[in-house]
Amino acid sequence: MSENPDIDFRQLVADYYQPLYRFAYSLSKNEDEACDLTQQTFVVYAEKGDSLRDASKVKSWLFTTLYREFLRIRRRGANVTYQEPEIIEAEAPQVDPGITSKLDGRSAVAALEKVDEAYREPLILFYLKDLSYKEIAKMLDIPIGTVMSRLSRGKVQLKKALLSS
Amino acid sequence: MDINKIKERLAALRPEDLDPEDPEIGELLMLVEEDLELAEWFAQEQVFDQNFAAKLQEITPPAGLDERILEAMKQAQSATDTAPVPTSTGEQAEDAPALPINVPVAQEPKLEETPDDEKITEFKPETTEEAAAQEIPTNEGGAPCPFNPDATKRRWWQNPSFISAAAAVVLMLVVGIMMFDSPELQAEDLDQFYQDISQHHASNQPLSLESTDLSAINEYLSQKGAPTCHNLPENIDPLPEVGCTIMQWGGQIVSVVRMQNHEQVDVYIVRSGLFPDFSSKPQPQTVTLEQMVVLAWSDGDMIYFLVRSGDLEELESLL
Repeated sequence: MSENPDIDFRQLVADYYQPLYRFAYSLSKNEDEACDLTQQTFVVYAEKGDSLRDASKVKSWLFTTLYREFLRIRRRGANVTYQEPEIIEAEAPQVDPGITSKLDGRSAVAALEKVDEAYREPLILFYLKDLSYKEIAKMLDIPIGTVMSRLSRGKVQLKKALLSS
Repeated sequence: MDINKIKERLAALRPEDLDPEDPEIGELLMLVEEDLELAEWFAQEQVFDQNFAAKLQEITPPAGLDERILEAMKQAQSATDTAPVPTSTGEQAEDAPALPINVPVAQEPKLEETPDDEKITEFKPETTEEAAAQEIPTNEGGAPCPFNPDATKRRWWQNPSFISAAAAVVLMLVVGIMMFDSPELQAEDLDQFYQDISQHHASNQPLSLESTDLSAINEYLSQKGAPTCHNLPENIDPLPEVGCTIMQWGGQIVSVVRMQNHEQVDVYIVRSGLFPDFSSKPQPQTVTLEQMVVLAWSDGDMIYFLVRSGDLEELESLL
């Protein structure tokens, strides 16, 4: 870190607090929780970021930290969901791209909520465009091929959700 | 490659990732060029993706969040500077941001809260004048309270030497527990996981694949991106497999491999990233829950949790 952490922090927050908040909100669907997650992520950085020597990894580090914090909080809620035994989806329904014109940020997140959890997280990261496929795979701890297949299956479910609503 | 497979692969590509130099993407783009219908579908797909991504960008944080974050960071850093927080592993690798999960949200510094160090009143020796100026305690009626020396005495348990001794005992207990490695894990998340898999085991969920062939089971799990089953302990390995299924916990896929040993035995397998601290525990761990016992151990990148009904003695027969 530099000798003047205030300048570093200010730049860091300016660069990443908005994308991190979007990610947090997309995960939690709750403004207060999204703020807490975003703030907590930066606090962790302030406390432990000294050990992060490679500046090019800061972004993925922040996203991963936020995601793990989200998982940690959510696990307290004792959730166990079972995946479909067979996760092969039918072909994606035809959707007029104009259907998205009726959406805003919140309703887009609400539509994502209808996607199965396993597909939702890579799909959120896919649309936020902050991380590469490789970084998404590393964050979710799954192979990159699995990311790709979950993306396409998640998109099928997303389109069905948009059509049904 | 059939058209559905091609579409599946294309659907997962962002416009900015369409690098024709990439052999796989280049091949897909060639197919798009050759098939007008596919090209039309792909163009629509890209428009949909762009539009949807733009909607997510409309999510904006509340005003002032950046300043609140900066304030919280400064407080956190000053707290760290004065009282360094030890890391659980001693050193954090730059590509392993697992440590942050140990910091609970409930403890995060809040802007409106007064930091603890500001609550401490600086000690100043009292001057005679100041002491004289202090009010004498009075009763409700205004009459001075009689001096009662006993009231100013500490109780025996408030005696500093007793508190010190008690603290030492607690410290020794904590250290002792850590040294002797109690098999009962205390981690909140792990406890929840134990309970959840026990309930799952008790509910006798149907299998996604019924097979007595472990390699077929592993192949199935691998196709689903789920952890595979390897290196089982000596007495568990020979148990006949019945099949497998997958479930999800904490955003991660959990494999469930079912075996038969007089009764049903389920082995739950997770990637070690789910419980980063687990490998530092003594192995195997044994946990007793309501009419269920769990045997847990880590092996390489995986953590295994064997669950069956009965008591610990029955489980130990498998060790």
